[in-house]
Amino acid sequence: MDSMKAPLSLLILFGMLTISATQIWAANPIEEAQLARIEKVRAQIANEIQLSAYGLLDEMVYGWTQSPIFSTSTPVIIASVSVPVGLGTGLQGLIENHLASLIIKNPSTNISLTHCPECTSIVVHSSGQGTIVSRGIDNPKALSQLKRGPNQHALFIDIEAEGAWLVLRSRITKLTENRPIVWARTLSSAASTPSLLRQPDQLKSATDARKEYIAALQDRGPLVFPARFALRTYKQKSNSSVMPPPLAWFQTGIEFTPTQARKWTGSVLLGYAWLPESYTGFMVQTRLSRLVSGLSRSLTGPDLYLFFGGSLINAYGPAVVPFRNTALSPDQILADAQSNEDSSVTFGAWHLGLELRISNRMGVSLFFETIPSLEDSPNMGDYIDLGFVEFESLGTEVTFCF
Amino acid sequence: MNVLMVLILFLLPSLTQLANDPVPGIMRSKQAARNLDCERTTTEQAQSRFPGEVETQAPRGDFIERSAVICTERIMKQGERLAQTEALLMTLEDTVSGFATAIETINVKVGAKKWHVESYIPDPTLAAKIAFATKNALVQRGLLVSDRVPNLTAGDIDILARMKPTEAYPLACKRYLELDELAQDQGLIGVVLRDSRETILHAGVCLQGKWQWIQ
Repeated sequence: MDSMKAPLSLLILFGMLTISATQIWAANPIEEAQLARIEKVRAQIANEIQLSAYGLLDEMVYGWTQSPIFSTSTPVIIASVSVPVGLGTGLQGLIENHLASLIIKNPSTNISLTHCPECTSIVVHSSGQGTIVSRGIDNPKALSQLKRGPNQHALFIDIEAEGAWLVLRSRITKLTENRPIVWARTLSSAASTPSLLRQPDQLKSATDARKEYIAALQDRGPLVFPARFALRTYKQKSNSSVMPPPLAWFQTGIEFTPTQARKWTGSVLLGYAWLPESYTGFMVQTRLSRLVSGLSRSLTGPDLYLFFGGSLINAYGPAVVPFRNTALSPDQILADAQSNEDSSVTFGAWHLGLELRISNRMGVSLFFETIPSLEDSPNMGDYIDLGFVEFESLGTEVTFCF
Repeated sequence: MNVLMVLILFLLPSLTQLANDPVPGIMRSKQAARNLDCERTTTEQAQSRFPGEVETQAPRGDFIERSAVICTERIMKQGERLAQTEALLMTLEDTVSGFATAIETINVKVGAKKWHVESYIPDPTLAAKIAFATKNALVQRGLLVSDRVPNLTAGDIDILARMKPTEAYPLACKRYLELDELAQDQGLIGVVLRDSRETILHAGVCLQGKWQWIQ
């Protein structure tokens, strides 16, 4: 038995070593992939918070325009801009540029941006007490010897992600030996708050910008008047010799919503279809739509609605013959074509679809329609057969809202 | 069957509401739920922050007691930063606000004229952010704060680095006074991680050569 134990132990040891070696060998590509993913996520977050950070800077500079820190134009150095831990220097550059742009466009802040490379660089200052290696702004004695500092101020900006809040902290320090902080402020903005997107040369307070946002949300009353172009196509039955023609509609009517969020909307539309020598049609349509892409209509992005509705269609003309519930022979088609009387059909339909609405001004939708009275029609096939319901029609619409 | 379909269609929008439910379940994983930062508030406040999205109480009152839970996704998701960094930053504003309140009380008692802030945190980026937040909290309470950091000699640092935190901070405080880096009317607030693994910040005050823990 002992003679068996040694090879078995060796085998286990070999197996363990093989597994460990494989893991070590495989670790690098995985780590690289993870690092690449982290970098991608960080870039995405930086993009997402950039506008919020701009909003906070706008608010800070707006505060300076309303109650300036300095009574006269005063030189200020941007001493440091730091971004949330984990995000790169790209965001730092964007924030610094935006801040500089805001200050330049708002001279009423009384802040005059100054370039001071000695202030932000590492300086070495030796005296009888010793040698100090530090940034210029951290050693006013060294700055004073370079004839910099006494009348200058340094602005420090720090932006940090704290949970769901983006927090901007800023302070201004006088570059004298004691470096007193003359002004400091902390501003925060929730990640879910829409960006205020103010013009750099026409800054507004957050309260005013929010009022504008609410006004924009409420710029439409509960009623909207849509004008819609729709095309309905019908599936031909595989063994049928006739193909139902597509019907092109122009619809208009009224769309209403009970709340400003436009979570639910309802509409009643009248439609008209006409193709010379082919068909003429009339339609009454009702529809109930539900917002599925969020809790309220977005001001900046498109909204997706799920809709369900019904329509009553009456059409006549030589082209609507396939909408009959009877099989058509070539002779019958010829006889209908030569007849002076137009074929007339009336049917009801239920439709289900999705609409992409942009800024509540324009929409594009796709829907399937079932026509219960034509389910057994020998001329009409199904796009989708769910067993309990068959969708014979596929339609698309473009809507303009007024 | 057609009736069933109509019923499903009417239920579908309600099912989409599940996507907004912060609780982990069919529509949200536990990981996603942990990345949410939620707060309970009144419906009126929620309506003011998110117009049209929250149903407020009827003008004549109703029989339901309503409140709203606002959940916002964290900017930095779990795992994107070191767990310790995330924990410290998550509560930074509350922590420094607590420090500032304590300092305000001390300031009234001892009548210190100027405060300096230093953070003793191993990560320099994090240390700078914590010091920044503390300074801002103090200035916003009307205290005089300086950006100057008192210095120790290289020999002092060499000795202090080998001592336990309980002994090192009082000694450092004494040395600041001896080296004339802190005057009698000046105070130093040290924000400290007493253990490199902990996620709670502590603060101490150095006044007239004496160190005192405040939190």
